[in-house]
Amino acid sequence: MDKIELINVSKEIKKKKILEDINVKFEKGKIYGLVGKNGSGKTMLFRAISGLIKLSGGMVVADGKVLHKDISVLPSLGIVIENTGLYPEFTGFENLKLLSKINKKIGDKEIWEAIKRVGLDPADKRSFRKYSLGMKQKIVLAQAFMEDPEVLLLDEPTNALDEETVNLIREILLEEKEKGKIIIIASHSREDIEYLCDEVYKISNGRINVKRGGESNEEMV
Amino acid sequence: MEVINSIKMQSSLLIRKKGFQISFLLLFAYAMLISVIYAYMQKGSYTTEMIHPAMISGITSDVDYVWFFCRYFPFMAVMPAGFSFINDINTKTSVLLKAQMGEKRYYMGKLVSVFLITFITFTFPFFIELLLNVIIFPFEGTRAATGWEAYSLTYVQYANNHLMSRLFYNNIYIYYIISTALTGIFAGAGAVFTVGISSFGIKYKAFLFLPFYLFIYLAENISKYIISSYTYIDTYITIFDIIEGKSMAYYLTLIVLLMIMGIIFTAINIRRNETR
Amino acid sequence: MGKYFFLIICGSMSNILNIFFYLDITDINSDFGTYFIMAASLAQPTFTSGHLVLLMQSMIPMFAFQIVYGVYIYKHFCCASVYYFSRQKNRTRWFIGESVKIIKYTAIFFASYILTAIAVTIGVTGDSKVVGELCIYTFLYFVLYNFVFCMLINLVSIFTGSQNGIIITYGIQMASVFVLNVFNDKVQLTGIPLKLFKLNPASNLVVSWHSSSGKLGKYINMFNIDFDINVSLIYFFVLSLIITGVGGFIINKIDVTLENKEEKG
Repeated sequence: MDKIELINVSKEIKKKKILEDINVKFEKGKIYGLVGKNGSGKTMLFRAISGLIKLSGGMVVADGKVLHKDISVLPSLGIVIENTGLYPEFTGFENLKLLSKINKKIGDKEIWEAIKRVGLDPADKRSFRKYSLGMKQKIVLAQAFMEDPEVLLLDEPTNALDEETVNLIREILLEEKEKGKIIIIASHSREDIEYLCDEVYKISNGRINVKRGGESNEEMV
Repeated sequence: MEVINSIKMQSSLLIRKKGFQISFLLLFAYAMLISVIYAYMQKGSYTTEMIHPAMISGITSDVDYVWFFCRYFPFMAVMPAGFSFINDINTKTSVLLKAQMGEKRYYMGKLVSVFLITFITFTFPFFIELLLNVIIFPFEGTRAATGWEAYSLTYVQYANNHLMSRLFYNNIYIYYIISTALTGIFAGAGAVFTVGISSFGIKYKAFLFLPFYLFIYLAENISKYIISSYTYIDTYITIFDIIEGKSMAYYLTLIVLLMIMGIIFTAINIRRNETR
Repeated sequence: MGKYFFLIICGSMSNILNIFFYLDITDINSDFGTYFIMAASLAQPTFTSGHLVLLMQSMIPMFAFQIVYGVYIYKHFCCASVYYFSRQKNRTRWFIGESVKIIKYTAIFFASYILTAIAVTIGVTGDSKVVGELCIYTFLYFVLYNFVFCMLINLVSIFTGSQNGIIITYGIQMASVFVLNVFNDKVQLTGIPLKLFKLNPASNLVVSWHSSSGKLGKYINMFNIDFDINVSLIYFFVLSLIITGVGGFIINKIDVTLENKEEKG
């Protein structure tokens, strides 16, 4: 996928504007950062891009195809939303296998490797409900990476992770960027934004009002 | 003392929940509707031909549609408080509460408050109905809702089949209050049983309607092998029921069984969670 | 396979329990058709409260089935909904696929139920002349009725949570049986009341209340009213199409929420 364009994207819920006239372009081979206060609309923007919600106005165009008109979801997407889990009664491997059956793009081997890549044991027999917070975050990241998607939307990807794993995830994201993926991360971590992002957008009250690109992103966070 | 605080706290929480408020309002509306219907039906009647004020009730078996209320009974018994434990687990407030009051007090408070709130839901509307009936209808009314004279020999013969028939002969008002309280106790026991089942980690709240429902279904159908008489649970939870073959011992056994199973299941799962 | 086996056992047990609890199995002086009507098809001879209560009691296995399969589609909206639906390219097609699975499980359950009833009927009456039409109509009625209500529970649960889905749907079913009581000496089954009777899902469910000009006529036609057995089949089929169509439309339009309705306090 070469680019994703948001044109006048708006979302209203019970007469409250959650997103308002968002105009943004995301291109391949770059990592974009999204910063903003709690409740500013970051997660809602991710849901809008991923096709999980219907827009009140505007459109999301992915390589010329309009979301909810030509396509219902982005054709190749890996997503992590903060505080959303997987099926609690299944193991990490079983969870990913279940999700992989939807598009049938990958087999057990790819799932195994995705779990190992984030530093977990694919043979772990514990169910998801017994995982620690960090382990849950890792397995959710593994499900985002496992099908080698062209677009990655990651909401607080390094949440609850130890320093070693944070470095690991950063390396993975840089590898994915080299492969030409479109990567958008939302984070409160200044270090993540500084280290990873080529461009940073600040979202406030549902509007993107500032954009910074280049080396220095300090004033954004 | 601390257990009482736990009970008070959890009860006050349950009262604020929609489950309790909606079930209480529904039962209250149903009880008032019955009183209004009978007030309308008896319009223009002589006072001596009127129904005894204590024999007009939403849960008297003489009322035509009480049998259908009884079909909703297993669902309604779960609504006020049956989901409280599973809600605490899902919202993780159980962790906070256990940290505040200790695990034992939490569980004891939980089971007692569930029982109490369900008991209140199934008794207070009908107690208020009795109060209202006593105000609206004359004391001189002596008929049963079926039309028979409550003190006639014919009715007395049938009234022998009431649970606590002696109490009925001595004082209909106290009979009404205690029978209604027994219904509330049965509903409360059903709620405790449901909470016990929910401690097994049931994923969907919808499944919690099944245990009490199936318990009643089985209890009804195997009763003929236990007390040599097939009786619907309806004949126990309604008052002034004249169907023969009822057994107070059987009824109390069901109540105790429900409570014990609820407590045992909860205890088993406390142990299980400790060893995980 | 384990799931199918469990369904078959439950279907069979449901019928056995219903026969054991509600049928006088000593009444063996009847032919296949007459006994089967009682053993399988919820037949009740009047609309008194007693008989309607028996009808509701006989429907308990159906309600248990509906509770279990009433969360079959809904469960995908509980946890991992974001990760599941971000991969679903066509939600409507997915929904129809899930609906077909629900029909499959419903068919297995009630096939087992009916086959058990057939076996018991032959065993008790000794009459092995199976009235195939009767069995098929009963099977189709049960499958379509339960499919409609399973789907309704799923759709309502998506918006309100599973406990409210059950309360509302069970309430509708109970109310539809409850209102039949008016036909017990209060209202005659003619004119507009008869039309309303024909629209009631509960009355459409009971095979023996229908009429048929064919050989089925001697086993059913309990009330001698114009209530064609084929029209009810079409009625349930249309209801099934409507609920699937509406469901497919709604599924596509709703926002996938992050909250798990089962976890709401």
